[in-house]
Amino acid sequence: MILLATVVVTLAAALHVVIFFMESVAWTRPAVWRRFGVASQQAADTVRPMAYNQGFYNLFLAIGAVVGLILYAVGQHPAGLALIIFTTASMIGAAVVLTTTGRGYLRPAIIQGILPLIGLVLLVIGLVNGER
Amino acid sequence: MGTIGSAIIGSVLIGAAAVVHLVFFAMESMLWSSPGVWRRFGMSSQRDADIVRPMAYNQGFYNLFLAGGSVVGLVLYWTTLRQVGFGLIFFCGVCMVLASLVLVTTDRRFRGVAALQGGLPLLGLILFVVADNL
Repeated sequence: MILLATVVVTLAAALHVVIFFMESVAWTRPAVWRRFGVASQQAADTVRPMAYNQGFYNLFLAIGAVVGLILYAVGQHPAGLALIIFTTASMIGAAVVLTTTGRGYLRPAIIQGILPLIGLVLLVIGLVNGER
Repeated sequence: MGTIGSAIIGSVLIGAAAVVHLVFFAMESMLWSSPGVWRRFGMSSQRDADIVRPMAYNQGFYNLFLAGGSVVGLVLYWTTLRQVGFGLIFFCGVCMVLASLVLVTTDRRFRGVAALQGGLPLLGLILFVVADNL
């Protein structure tokens, strides 16, 4: 179960790297900013500095999750688990916040939140069953 | 200063960094509609502030999570799980420092607030690392 959790958390991290790429690197493309509910080129230019910043927060969460998985794999279980739980909980929290942002944010929230949620649940099930 | 001394001062600085990030959360996610707030974030009109509002609301929560993570880390460090606490403090502190560097590269006008956002956790982390290696 923990092995499966590792795979799913890795996918969640990869998704957050993609979100980083869209917000901080590829924001100028209309196909990208439209995905974030931005309606016009002018609005996209206005939002750009904050999108650039927020992308990095997603990158940090992805890196934290991967570092947590590595620490766990090399036997640093307490610190590794702390990082995995904190970063996946933050991703889930961010997805929940997204649903409260307004109409039309439910779909991106599910996309952002489903992988870390499944990963965290699998991890907890594995730990409760005494897996290491 | 000694190990305990630098861990205590480090804790105070990390605690202060958490408070700063709570203030960011309050401004971005709760008080954004006030012109006194959005002007601080470089917005030049009510219209721009309204356009940016959904993303500001979301970004505020990332700051809240970092503040929460470092406070949980401090509590664990000083109670039962010192190693786990240190891990959380270290991760959240590094995120705050890196976010402040990103902010400076966004717009040079933000360098004052970025120094506050990143300086407190950086000093706090240095003291914690010193405390852990003496």
